[in-house]
Amino acid sequence: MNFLNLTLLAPLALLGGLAIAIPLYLHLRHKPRAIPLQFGALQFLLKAQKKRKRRFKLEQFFLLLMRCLFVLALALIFAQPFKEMILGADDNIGNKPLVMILDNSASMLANNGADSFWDQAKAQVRAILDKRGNTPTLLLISSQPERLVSMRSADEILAALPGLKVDLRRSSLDRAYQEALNIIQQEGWGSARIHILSDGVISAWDQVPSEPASGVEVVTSTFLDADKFSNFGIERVDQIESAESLDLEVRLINGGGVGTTFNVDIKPEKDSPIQHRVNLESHETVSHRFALPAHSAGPVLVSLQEDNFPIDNQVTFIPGSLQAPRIVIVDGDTNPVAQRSESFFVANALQLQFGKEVLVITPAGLNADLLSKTDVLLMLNVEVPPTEWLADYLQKGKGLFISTGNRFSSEAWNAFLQPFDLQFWEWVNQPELVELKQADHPLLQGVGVSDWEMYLSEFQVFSHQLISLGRSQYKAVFTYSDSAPALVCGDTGPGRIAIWPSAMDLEGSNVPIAVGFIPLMRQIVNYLSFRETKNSVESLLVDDVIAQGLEDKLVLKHVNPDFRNLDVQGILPGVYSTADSQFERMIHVFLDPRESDFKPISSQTAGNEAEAFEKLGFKNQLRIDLGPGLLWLVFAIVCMETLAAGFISLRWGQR
Amino acid sequence: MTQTSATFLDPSVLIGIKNLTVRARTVVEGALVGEHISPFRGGSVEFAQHRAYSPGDELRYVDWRLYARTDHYHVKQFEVTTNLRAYLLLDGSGSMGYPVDGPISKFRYASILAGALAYVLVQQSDATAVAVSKGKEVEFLPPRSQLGYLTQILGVLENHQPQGEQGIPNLIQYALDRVHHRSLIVLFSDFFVDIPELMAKIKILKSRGHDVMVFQILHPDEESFPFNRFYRFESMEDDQYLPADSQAIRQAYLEAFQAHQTQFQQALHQTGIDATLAKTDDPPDRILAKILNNPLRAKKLRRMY
Repeated sequence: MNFLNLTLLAPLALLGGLAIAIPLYLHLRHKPRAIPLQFGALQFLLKAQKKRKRRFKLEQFFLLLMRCLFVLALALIFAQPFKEMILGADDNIGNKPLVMILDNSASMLANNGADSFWDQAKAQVRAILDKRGNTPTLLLISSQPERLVSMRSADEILAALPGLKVDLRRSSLDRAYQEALNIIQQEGWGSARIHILSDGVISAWDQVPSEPASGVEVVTSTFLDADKFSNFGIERVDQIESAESLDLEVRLINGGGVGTTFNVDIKPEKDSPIQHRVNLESHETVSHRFALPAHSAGPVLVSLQEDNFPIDNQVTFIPGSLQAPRIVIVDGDTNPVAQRSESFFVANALQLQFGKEVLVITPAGLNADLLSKTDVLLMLNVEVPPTEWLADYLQKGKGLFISTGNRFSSEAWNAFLQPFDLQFWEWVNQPELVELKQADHPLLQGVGVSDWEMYLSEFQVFSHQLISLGRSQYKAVFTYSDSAPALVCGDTGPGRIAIWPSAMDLEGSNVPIAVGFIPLMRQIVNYLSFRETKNSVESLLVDDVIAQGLEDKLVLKHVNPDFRNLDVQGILPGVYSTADSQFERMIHVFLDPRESDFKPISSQTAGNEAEAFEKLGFKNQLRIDLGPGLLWLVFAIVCMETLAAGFISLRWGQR
Repeated sequence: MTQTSATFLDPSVLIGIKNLTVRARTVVEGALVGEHISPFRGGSVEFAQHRAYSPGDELRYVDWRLYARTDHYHVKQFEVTTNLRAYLLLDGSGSMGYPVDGPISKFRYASILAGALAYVLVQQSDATAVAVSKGKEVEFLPPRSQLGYLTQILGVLENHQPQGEQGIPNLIQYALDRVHHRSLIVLFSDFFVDIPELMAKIKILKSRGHDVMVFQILHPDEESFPFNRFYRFESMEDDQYLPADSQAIRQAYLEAFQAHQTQFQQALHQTGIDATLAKTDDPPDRILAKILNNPLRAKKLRRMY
């Protein structure tokens, strides 16, 4: 409800209208103050009064009315009413300096069925500029308020206007508004007008200004017709890590003014489409998780029906690899026996984590063909390494794990490891505890430091082999209490290597039966398979991309065909890849979700009231929430008071 | 004479009217021979004039000596002076009490005039009656001509407090009901009443042959309305009141007052009664002198014979 299109900055000041009691009181008190006088010729007075009576009553009534209106006008002035929206306001009246603030955030790409808000706003700016004379005129754009500051005449701005574009980066009007106030203050303009051309969405502001500085008139042109506006948007799509299926989490928003049901279409490239109906109230968000078969990995098109803000209706999502690393365990024991060989414990631990695809073989079973299909090779207590194959294997960017044991030949392995500057020394038959050394190593990521400390407190190694690290890229992630490396990791050019210089069975340590063994093996395999980068699928906002400096490194993979020719600044929402390492990193870019929510400033703040308070400020909140209601209430009170006053006044007059 | 009587018979008033003679304008009945002319041809007569004989005249009034000289029949006419019955009717209604806290109210002023008139009449041995309206009642002293009666008359006038409403119509009605002889009827009032109703009664008085004299007593405030503040004007006769800004209402009041005065004067003029307007700041002796020396009276007297 809007009262005559007026909004009040300080609606509580209307309570001052109750001071209407003062003129009423004075008015009523004034009458009995008449001096009593006994008069003989009263009949002529009465006769005269009959003529005058009507006029007298009217005079009294108007007198009372004027007094009351005076009080109400005062209250209204203190309540600071202003016109919320003056569409097409004539900014040429008077010679006030004019600062226009043009919202060029992504939400301006919305439309009311015809032209976009952006085009409408530019047309309006042009219309104003065409009629502007020599009076100072400025145009600030919300994303870069400083860009056009130097232009102070209508002609200059007109020339620059066609070059202005919508900026897909998140921007609010606050900075431009503050800049406008600063300019007005610096220039010493006693009175000036700020004309804000915006979509009229609450998210256009970080903090909606409640009161302009004195002498500054603020006019707002908004383009959003909230009641008719509909926008179902995809805020973002994320891939949920799952070994068995492709799980996509789709975050949806109903950014329009009407709650309704709409369809979400999910079309995997290699599988049959899914359609899902979603019911959302206005300005409500919801996350839905869709599970697709793992084999359908490939681009997935998530789309919604057409609405007034098309840019968030379609997302092509390219999921990361779902393939579990192919793991081959080579046990040096030619006849591995359950519970007594390393491969028993290691295979069990990995099968729990990576499924059944763990192959256990003896050194004799290893060949070049198998290695080519292997992602992670675990050499457990193997006497002699197949040096050529392994070097080739590592060169292909794969992972190798080595553990020692009683069959392990240091000389043979040192010959293989020599190019990598790693060397085994002597055996130490002394029980040692394992300690955490490199808490920030990528291998340890995903498990908290305190958890590692808890796991390691149970680890005890009965004998181990000393190893030296010749290059700084190798790190001793764990050490023994004498600082000798207990777990060595590092990159060997394209490949990765991890060495546990002790046995993985119960004769060499108690580690295989410790609680931390399974997470340790999982982390080692993840590390060696380059999983943290290989499977990387990231969802970033436009601003995140720019903040991380990725803007120039992104290679466009896919963007919605409708927007390929969109003339905007910033990065279009879509799929990009970066090639900053040997692995491709897939980045999905989304708009800031606030741009999809078209909640008008004047709307009720149903929903998150805390957010509304924070955003609008207390005064604006009061203005929007209580303003109209309070206005009607005060109006009703004043009407009743006036009626009562009139009634009493007439009664007094007749006595 | 009592102290209170002296209040009414102000020496300046009495000096002003000492040598004035109250003469009746029309013939009134009277048993006593006085200074008033009798319309009847009585025994003790004073020759007035001759008149041509007309059939029906009694032969005994034919002046035979004149017939002998002129050969025409004339009858002799005589002036018979009789005692005058005067009824002084004073409006004692509330409105006559104005101003309440002033030096002299309209009723008091009327009392002075009436008292002076009564004094003069009684001095001439004219029977004088007084009637004062007292609410719906009337306080009445029947006509007497003894000098001592004056004290009673003045006592009634002095002791009356103005009250009630519609004094003068009641009084006239009272007189109509009781006064059967032709008399001098003197009305003292502000005449703030309905004029047509009042005039209807006065006309009846006139038609019965009474000589009616009217004294309209007004206070200067009523004529000029000099108020300039917001007053609650209260009626002196009933519960009516009017809060009004005196400056705002003044013009309309004066118009209403003047309209009333004009209507009253015209009505009296048409009826053949000339009223005397007396304002409470006028010297009462002048008022009395003016009414008693009115040349119209002599003229009218002459025309009757």
